[in-house]
Amino acid sequence: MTVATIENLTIRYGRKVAVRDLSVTVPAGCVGLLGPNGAGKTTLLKALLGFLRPARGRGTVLGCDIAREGLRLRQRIGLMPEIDCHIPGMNAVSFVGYAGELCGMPPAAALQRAHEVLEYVGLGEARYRNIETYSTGMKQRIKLAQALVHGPQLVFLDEPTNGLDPAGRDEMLALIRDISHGKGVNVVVSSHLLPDIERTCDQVIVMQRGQIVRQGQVAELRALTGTQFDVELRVAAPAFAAAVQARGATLVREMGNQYRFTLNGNSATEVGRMLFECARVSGAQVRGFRPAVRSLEDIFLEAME
Amino acid sequence: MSAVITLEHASRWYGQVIGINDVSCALPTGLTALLGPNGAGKSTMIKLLTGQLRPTTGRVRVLDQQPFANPRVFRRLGYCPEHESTYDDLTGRELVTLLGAMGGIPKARLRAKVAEVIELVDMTPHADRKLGGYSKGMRQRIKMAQALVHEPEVLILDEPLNGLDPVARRDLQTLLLEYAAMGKCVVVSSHILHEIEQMTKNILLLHHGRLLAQGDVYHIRSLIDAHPHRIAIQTSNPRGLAARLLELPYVLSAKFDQPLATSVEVETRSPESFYAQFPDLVIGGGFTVTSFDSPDNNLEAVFRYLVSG
Amino acid sequence: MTNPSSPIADLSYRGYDGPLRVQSVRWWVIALAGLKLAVAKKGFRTVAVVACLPHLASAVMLYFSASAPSGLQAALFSGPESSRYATLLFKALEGQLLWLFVIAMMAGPGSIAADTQANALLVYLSKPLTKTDYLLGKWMSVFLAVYAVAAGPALALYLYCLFSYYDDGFLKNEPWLLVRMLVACAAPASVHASLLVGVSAWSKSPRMAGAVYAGLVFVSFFIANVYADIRFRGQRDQGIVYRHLSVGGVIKGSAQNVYDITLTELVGRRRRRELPNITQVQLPPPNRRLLFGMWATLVVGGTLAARARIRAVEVVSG
Repeated sequence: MTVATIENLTIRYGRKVAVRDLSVTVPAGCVGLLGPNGAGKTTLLKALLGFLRPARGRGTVLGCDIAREGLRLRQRIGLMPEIDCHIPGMNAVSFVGYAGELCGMPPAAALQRAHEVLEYVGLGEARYRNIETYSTGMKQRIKLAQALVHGPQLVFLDEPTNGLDPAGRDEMLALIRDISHGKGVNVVVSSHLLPDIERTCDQVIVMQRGQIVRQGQVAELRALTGTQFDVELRVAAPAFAAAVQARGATLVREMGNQYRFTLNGNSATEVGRMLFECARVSGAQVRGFRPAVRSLEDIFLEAME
Repeated sequence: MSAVITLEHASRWYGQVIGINDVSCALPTGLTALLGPNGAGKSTMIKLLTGQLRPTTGRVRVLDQQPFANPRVFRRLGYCPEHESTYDDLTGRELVTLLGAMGGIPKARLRAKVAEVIELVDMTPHADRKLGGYSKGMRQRIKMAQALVHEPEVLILDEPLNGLDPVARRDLQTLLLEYAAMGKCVVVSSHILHEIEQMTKNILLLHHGRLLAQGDVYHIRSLIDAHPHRIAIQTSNPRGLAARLLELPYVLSAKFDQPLATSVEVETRSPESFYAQFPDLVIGGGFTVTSFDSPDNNLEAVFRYLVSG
Repeated sequence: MTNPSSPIADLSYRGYDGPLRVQSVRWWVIALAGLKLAVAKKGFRTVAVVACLPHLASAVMLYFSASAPSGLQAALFSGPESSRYATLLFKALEGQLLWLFVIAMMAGPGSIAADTQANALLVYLSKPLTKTDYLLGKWMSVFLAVYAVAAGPALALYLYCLFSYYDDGFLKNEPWLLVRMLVACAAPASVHASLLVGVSAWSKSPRMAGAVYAGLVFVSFFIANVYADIRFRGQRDQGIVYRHLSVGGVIKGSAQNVYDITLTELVGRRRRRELPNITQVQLPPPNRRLLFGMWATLVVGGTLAARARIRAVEVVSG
């Protein structure tokens, strides 16, 4: 199931080519959009919002042509911009209601829906205060609310946790996870914070220099070939590493008290026992071990090379 | 290791509103993270350290001097602020040159130093464009450049990694670690705990203006009694293993994840004893354990526990 | 919504599948929001009431003039009888021009400047709106604010005259007066709306926009009048076009042209040791074509200036 398809898109700003011959399929669900600055993410997002006229190629988002049906497109999608933005002189309720009316909702429905969405994002009594008095966390929530008020099928979130403290970040990520799983809303998250993407998205698209360099399910991308394990000891113990290697495993990486091994032919289910025996033999204390996964950061950095 | 920065019962309030309240601490060389929820007093503390404010009571000492309006301290201190407003009509190079000159670099060496630091932050191709046209990431890097150009002994950074893509982020983290390893004192204030954790284990946690905790994260974790250590174990026989674990006197509880039934999470107040006995129990009982680790032995958990009580 | 089998309502997020109205009404939503904001400003209502006073005063004077000596009547209705009510309405409009300017200053400067300050364009442009919708909505919010305060009391005065003086040939003498009145009230509204929207779009803050516009109005007024006085050596019936080369002048001149009336003014000349010499001077409306051109320049110019400045903002930053 796809929400957007881009085929051979070329976009030019004057003489500069922002994206050349780009083809990408945005799947349904929660998708993370990653890439260094200048990779073309902004351009891709603007194209998906129906703002750009492609020099070549075409695309559809939720069934609307991006070059010709920009207005109809924007009625079905929501955008949570990165920069602080609000309509001056309004409180949260009027702002979100206004956003709904701008999408074409009748005023009564817009107001009712505004309250509903504000409740959902966790804004209680504060919704009657002027937006200019809000904290960063509240402003982010309102931006999310105005993107959701008209019930879009696809929502773009640009750096949704910008400026939030750890508690606010948790809540925002929980909201994003909730809305993209089981509520019928597809989400595209653009962020530089890879742990955020790991927590919320099931799939990622990685861009660089106007091209897609990696795309796929997060779980698949993270899985390592072969059976690798990360082991954490209380203190670094070379004897332990030696003992494990003597059992047939290969030492891949060693950082202080953290080790990564590849099992060669050792059964995965016997790993625990094997590690504990090695620890007992070498006098080390194992504090944790888990199947190694690549972090999204590693995937990203690899893709950049 | 003598402290580079000391606060002694420093308080600062704005009218009735408290910025920081009776904070005493000493920061040595190396990298220290300044953490806290919004409104905890981090910006006040940074303003006190960078000499923009004077404490209402108490003392603040940076490099053994009072930093307020003290050019001698400013010359040895580099500050990378959070906000972005700059002189839009200057180019990046001009801004760094201007601030470098103000930081006391002699004219003869200024040009070379500016070029060097711009190269360090990877801004050489863009240094001669006007600041008005910079993206967020570029501004961030120029801010770093102007903080580093006069080779300060103390570096104070407010959300330095904001707006940088992961590659630039990694580069900057490496740069800061190297700088700290050279014997400088680096203070980084940030909300992104994951990144802080990659850089340092020393934290300074503020909350509602008060100093909540200072020191090594894992040490702090071991002292938080109210939240026993959680250890998540993936095994084919969670209930069987749990039954054996619950026989141990220091294991407090066992939680199972229904309906998957592949793991059990135990709580204990004596992690040392647990780790010592766990391997024997697994081997002796013939259990198959595919992974185990402690999900709350990290900075995020420590932050959450301390801040929300 | 309560699931019929569960007593606990499911209050988590749900989509919206209600009706969505067609795009053509978007500008009205924007205009309405702008109007609400203007009306909520402190003093708006007071100024609006004060702006009705010239019309009220005219009505009162009319009421009492029926029983007054004919000399007073003549003073009230200067000019030919065929356009006495037009003159009345024009004079009332002239009397409220200053207040209309104040109303415009409440609705106008912030219209786009406040949005620029708050990055509101990011919100607008992610909705199904075009630049035209946005601009039209903003323009209309200022236009309607000024027009309502101009046309409201004018309409009331018109109806009063209609009902009171119908027998005196009110409708017969000036059949098109209603239309003229509705169009004339659009003169200040359209000029203020266009120029303010233009200035607001190019300003960084509402305050600056207001200051610039006020400066524009007053300085142009000052220059036009001083120039005309100097060049035509104080003769009030000479250089009429030059006197109207200001924002206020264009408004007044347009209204005068719409009403198509010639004003009479009493000019006094004083010489030492002599009695003041008062003469009556005729002031015909300024050249119609020229004035229409100026009006069009201001309106089109202001609107195009605004349009040029509202570029499709970077909705997503890099």
